[in-house]
Amino acid sequence: VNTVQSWQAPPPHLVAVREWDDEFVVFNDATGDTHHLGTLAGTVLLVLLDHPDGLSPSALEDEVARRVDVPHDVTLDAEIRNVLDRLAEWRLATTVSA
Amino acid sequence: LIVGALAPHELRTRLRSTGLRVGLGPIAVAIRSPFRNVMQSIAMHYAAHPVVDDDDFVDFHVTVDSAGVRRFVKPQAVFRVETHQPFKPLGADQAFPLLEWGLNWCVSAFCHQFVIVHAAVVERDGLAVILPAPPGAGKSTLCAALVARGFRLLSDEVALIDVDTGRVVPIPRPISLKNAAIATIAGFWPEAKIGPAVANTLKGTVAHVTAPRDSVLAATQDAAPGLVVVPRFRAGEAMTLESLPKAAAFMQLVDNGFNYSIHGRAGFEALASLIDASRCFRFTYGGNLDEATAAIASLLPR
Repeated sequence: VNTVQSWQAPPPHLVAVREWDDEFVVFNDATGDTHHLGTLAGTVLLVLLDHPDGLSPSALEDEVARRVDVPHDVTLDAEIRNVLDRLAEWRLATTVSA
Repeated sequence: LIVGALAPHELRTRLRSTGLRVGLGPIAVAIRSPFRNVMQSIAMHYAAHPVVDDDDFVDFHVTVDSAGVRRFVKPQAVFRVETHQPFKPLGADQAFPLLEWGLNWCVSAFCHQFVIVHAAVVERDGLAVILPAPPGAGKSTLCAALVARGFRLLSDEVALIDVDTGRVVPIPRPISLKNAAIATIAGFWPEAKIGPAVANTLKGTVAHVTAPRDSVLAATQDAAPGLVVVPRFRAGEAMTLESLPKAAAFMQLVDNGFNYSIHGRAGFEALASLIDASRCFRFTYGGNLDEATAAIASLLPR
C-alpha cells in the first residue's frame, strides 16, 4: 500500500502568488490557470512553496497550524487534506509516495 | 483634420470608396459602407475623432455592406473585417449598431498589446474608475451617467490595460444604451447627443450616445487605475456600496477578461498591479442616478 511520504508544490518560479487581506490569487505557469484561494488553501500553498523539497503530511499540518494560528487537531487535518486534494487537482501540489 | 470637418459629400465618397480612416485612441480603422444610416451616425458620433492620413497605418479595414441579392428584397447589412465575416447579416436598419459591435469585436479579438477586460472605464483627476461586468449589468448606463456628471469617458465597453505600465488606455467611442436605459439617460442627461433608437436588434432596442468632445480629444492620455467598482443594476432596489476584497475584485477582472489567458503570467501580473493600485467595491444601484454617481464620485480623492 502506497502512503503519502510528502507533499510538494511546483518549483516556486513557476507559480505566481498575490495575497490581499488573507485571500490569495495564484497563477500556475504549468496550466495557465488562475485560482482564488482562501486563507487556509493559500497558506498551505505558501508553506509548500517555502519547502521545495517537500513536506511530510504531519510537518505540513504543524506548519500550517502555526501560521494560521489555530490548534492542530483532527478537524484542521481534514480541512488540509481537502485543500491538498484541490491543489493536486489544479497541479499546485503533488504527492511523493513511498 | 477631424471627421466633423469633412463635407457630407466628402464623407460619403470616402465611405463608398477607399474608406473613412478614423483614429480611435490607440488604433485606427478604415470604414467602408454605402448605408446612409451609417454615414449619418458616423457624422454624428465620430465628428470629433481624427481622420487618419492615407499614408498612415490602419489596424482594421472594416466594411458594412449590403448582403447579396437581398439588397433588392429585404436589405441586410453584413460586417466584414478584410474578408472575414464574424457575424450573421442583420437588417439594414441595424447597420450602425452592427458596425459598433464589429469594432468591439475587432478590439477584443485582436488588440492583444493590451489585457482587455469587459468593462466601462471613466476617469477623473487622472484616476480610472473601472466598472467590470458582463452584458446587462448596467455598466453602460452608469458609465453614461458618470460622463454626464463630468467624468472623462475612456470606454463603455473595454478596459485596455497596458501590459507593461498597468495604465488604462482610452478608446473613446459612442456609449451603447439598451432598452429602458435610453430614456433614463435622455432624462438624466438632457444635453446628451443620442442617436436614433434601433428596435428589434439581438439586444433589444439600442441607441448610441456621442462621446463628449473633451473625451475624444484626450484619447492619447492614459489613466492610472484608481477604483474597481463591480456594478449591478437592480430596478427599484436601494443602492448599496460595499468594499470588495481585492482577491475577489481580481477574479472579477479575470472572469470578464477577453484575452487574459493569452497573456499568461504577464496578464496576471498586470491585473495584480492594477488591483494593488485600486480600491475595490461592489455596487448595486436602482433607478436613482444622481445618488449612484455621487456615491462613485465620493470614492475618489477630493
